Amino acid sequence: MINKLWLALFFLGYLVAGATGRVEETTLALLHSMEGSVKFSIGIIGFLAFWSGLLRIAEEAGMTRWVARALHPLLSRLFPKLPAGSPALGCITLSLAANLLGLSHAATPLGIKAMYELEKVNPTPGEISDEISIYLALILGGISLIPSTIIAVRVQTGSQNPSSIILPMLLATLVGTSVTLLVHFIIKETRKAGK
Amino acid sequence: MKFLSVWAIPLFILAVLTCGEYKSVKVYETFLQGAEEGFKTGIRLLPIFLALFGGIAVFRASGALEFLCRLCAPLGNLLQIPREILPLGIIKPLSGSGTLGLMIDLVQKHGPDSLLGTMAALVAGCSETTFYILTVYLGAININRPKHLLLMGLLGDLAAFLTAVFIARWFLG
Repeated sequence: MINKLWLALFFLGYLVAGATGRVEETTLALLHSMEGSVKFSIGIIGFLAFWSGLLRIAEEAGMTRWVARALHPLLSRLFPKLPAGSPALGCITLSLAANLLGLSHAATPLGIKAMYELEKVNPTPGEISDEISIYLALILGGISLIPSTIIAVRVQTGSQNPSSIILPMLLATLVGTSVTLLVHFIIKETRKAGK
Repeated sequence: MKFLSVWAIPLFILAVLTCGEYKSVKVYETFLQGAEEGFKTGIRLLPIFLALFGGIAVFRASGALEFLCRLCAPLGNLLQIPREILPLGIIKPLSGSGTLGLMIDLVQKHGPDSLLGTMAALVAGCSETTFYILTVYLGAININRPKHLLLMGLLGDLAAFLTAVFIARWFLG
């Protein structure tokens, strides 16, 4: 599916570019994106490496296990197969917390770490397990308690009450997350029924 | 609120270092080991970004995105989605920086406390950048086929988008 989508971006893009006479600008944008993506990667490598280093310390000190144990009652319903105190559950909890608090810089490395841990306990490596699917449903739903970037933009543009956005945002992200979780469970049930 | 957002990261760093020291972890060496792993992950993500950003650049610069927005306009009218907001909802799953840019533009033009400004801010923050999350998270563990996850992400985006639009109308309209 990702193959066809990627193909479509280029073919539809150049089809429209041809029709509207924007071929040159489009190619220029493509060339710029090559440089841009390397710059972006270099930037992301810096904080990926830093947070991974810090997380390694947290892991060695047993912090991820405490976090997992503390929040186990909450998450064990969604991840029944992951034992209390497992590193996967700890990483999942930490990454969800980072997302919730709007620490977007910390969220990506924590999320990748959680994916590594989930892949370690994946009964079918290389395929999407139930746990990976639920975890990504939570991430894609993007529940947000403190949307820091958005609030920062509102502060900068002189809003009277920048943080008034918090409650409606929470509501919208909760609806989104309910839908992603619903899709997960519907797909799971239809697969089960198909077998 | 400001205090929390300013101190969240430093407090986390200090807490981890304190715990490590307390549990007599060799903090510096351990940090380097972890950082090396993070560096490798970053390198592995580079080709993924190259592919993703390249495709999106072509799609945006060519006007194909605009065209898609125009195609969706009648549906937007039917659901009473303002025509300024619709492109935001369409670019949202594709590009985080594109969404942010467009949102800032709308907020500046209409004011952060106007209906359109609030709606733009809500829509921009109401879901994650589905394509980015899936390529990065699945790419990190070498899974190339997102299967049902793409549908899941996009349906979630759609639901969050519609909710954001209606909440903004309900709060301010």
